Amino acid sequence: MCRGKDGEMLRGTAIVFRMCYKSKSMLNDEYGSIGSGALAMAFEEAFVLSTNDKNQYPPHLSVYEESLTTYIQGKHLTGGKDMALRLHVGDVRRLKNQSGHALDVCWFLAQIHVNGTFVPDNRPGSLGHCGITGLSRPKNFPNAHWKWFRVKLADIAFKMGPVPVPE
Amino acid sequence: MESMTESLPILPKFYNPFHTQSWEQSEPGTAMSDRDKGARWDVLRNINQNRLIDVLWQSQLLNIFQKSVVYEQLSQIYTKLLQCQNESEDIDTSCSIPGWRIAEPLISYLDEMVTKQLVSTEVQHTAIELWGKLEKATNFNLPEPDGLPGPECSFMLAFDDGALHLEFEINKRNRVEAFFLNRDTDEMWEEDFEANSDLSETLLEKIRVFQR
Repeated sequence: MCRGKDGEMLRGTAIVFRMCYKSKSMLNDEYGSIGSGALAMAFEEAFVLSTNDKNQYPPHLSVYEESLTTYIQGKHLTGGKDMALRLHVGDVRRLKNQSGHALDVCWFLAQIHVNGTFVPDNRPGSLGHCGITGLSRPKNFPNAHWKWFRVKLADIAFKMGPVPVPE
Repeated sequence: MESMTESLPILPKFYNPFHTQSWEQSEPGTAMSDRDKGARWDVLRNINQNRLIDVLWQSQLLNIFQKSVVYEQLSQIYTKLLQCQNESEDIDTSCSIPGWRIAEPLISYLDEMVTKQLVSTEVQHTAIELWGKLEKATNFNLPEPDGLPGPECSFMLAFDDGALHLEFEINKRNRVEAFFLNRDTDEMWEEDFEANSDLSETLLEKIRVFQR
């Protein structure tokens, strides 16, 4: 896949991944076997915007397109996060919350925070950097409708199969 | 249960949990200072004291079979307490009884996340306090929740049975955001509360559906 221009939409067939740490259940091999069939589902925390994410224009959650960034590069780019949550871009776009808002996945130049400013990230694998937009709740809309997005993104990732990333 | 407790050695003195102090995070990459180590031990003492109180509380309520389970848990926690009091460099969670390990994966996970500076100690305190409350409210019949660190040293606890989802997001000391979703009906519910306050009836209803 070729990288698009900043802000341009990814193809609906693309697959992106979000890096996170192994959850408690993944780390302890309890995955899928907790209690009465409960699933390991704290993944939605991986889809919470950080303050830096919110300060981007437009606010977006960093993900990587998987033909341009390997999981191991993703791990290095994110400071050692050892789990890749894969998302089909078409599935992400199909989500619509009860307020009628939807998400999108667009190309965004990878940036890193250095001495209080954002500078281009030229490390290997940063070419695949893109972002999920629409996760920042506009004022006066119910918070729950945006938490719903996070659960649904975690559901997509769960269905796709989270990928543990080795050293 | 009384005969069991009589055979236990005298409990060690606890630190007053109200004297436990929070401390600033070390700079990433720097070695843990003696002050940090001391503070970590304080946290562990506090955690174990709270767990012990929960277990003792529970022992007054349950039948004999459950009491024996509780006693097993108590023994393990007691062993861990002794290890903490000895202030050994690493926390050895092995038990003198062969094959036993401390069955506290959530607490161990949180401790690991704090060590890696992915979760703040204040968030850790709140998560453990909340978990203790949830366990107590359900007569210790909850499956262990999943947990994951989030941005800015936050932490999430989540219960999920495939159809129902209940999460607790902890961003700062004592503050919890609960969110419930029924995937089948799209029913949603949310509540912000303080971890040291009583759990609302609605929250108790939501958490009890995850009981084993």
